[in-house]
Amino acid sequence: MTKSNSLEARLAVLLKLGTWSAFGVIAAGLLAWLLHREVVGERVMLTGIAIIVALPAMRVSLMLEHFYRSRQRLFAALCLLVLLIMAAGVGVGLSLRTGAG
Amino acid sequence: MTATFALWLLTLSMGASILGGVLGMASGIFIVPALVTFTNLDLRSAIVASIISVIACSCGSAAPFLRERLTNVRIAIVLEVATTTGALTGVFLMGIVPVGTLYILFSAILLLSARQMVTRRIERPASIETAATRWPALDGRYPDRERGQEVHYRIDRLGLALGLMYGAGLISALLGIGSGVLKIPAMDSALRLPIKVSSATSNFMIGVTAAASGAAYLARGLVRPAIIGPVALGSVAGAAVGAWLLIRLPAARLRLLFAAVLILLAVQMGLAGFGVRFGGSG
Repeated sequence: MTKSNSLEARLAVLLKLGTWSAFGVIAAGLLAWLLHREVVGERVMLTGIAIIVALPAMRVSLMLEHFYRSRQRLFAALCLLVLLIMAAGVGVGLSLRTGAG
Repeated sequence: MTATFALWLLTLSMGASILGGVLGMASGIFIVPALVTFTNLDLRSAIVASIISVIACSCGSAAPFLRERLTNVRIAIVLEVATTTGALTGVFLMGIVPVGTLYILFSAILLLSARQMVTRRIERPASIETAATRWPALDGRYPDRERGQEVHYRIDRLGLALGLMYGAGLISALLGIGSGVLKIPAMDSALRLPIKVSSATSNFMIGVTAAASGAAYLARGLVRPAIIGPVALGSVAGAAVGAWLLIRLPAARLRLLFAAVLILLAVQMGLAGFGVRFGGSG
């Protein structure tokens, strides 16, 4: 269980730090936006939103690394599959964007 | 968009997320109705804003459950194959399903949530003695503080749970919610997980499920930072306050009141599906 525990502790740190850094970035962006720096504010907020969306993918990548190193091949393969499905989502989004012109 | 509107979005999302947090639910179920009722946002914009908040709230609240070893990360990754596939299907359907149908579907999910809120979840006896181990790699154990001992559990009916999870992922992407209302029965009844494990694992999975559709909506250019920024901030802050209140308020007694609120929202969203609106113009 020791290895698994350390995975859970690492996941906890990643998710907590990730969420609160995204929170800080979005708050800074909103502040800039409220101070009439609309373009900068929107870009900064978009960066924070992108961190939020990327965070679960980072968490699956961390699990992939753990399962691969501890030779739990089936679980490593499942992590890879989930990452591929998420990447397919981005592909679908991009294709619909192009389709919409 | 004005500064007042941004602050209004932040306040609304915070309120909706506090409600969700007090009840131990993902905030999306309250954020979407709040946004379409009290602002002029259309349903699809509210759904996209909500899905980003749902990711943030899931990630932000996962740490204590992970440290307490309540989250079963192996079961989560197996089920996430189904939830993300469902989410991808939802992304495809998002542009096809008429807005009226989305309102009616949302209304049905609200009614289901109200029913779940008044029905007490039953802790089934751990199946360790009764069932043979079919998926030993997924079995787990967690420290039960009340009993002062480790509880071992085995999982059951994985195929059924995978099917339900596919549906949960689809609904999550389509309605911008965490779909805990569908995940919890799948984990309690199909997998027969202990309640604490199923709540923690469901919450953990919500982030990845919502990120599959959130990333697609982001890539598609549907994310409007000036709207989603305040909504995400409000919902993360609200979830933290809600979790704090959850321990201090007699939530069990409030459940009936909240069930009534959910039914009211269900009626309102259902009527909106037929073109009858009381709130915003969306």
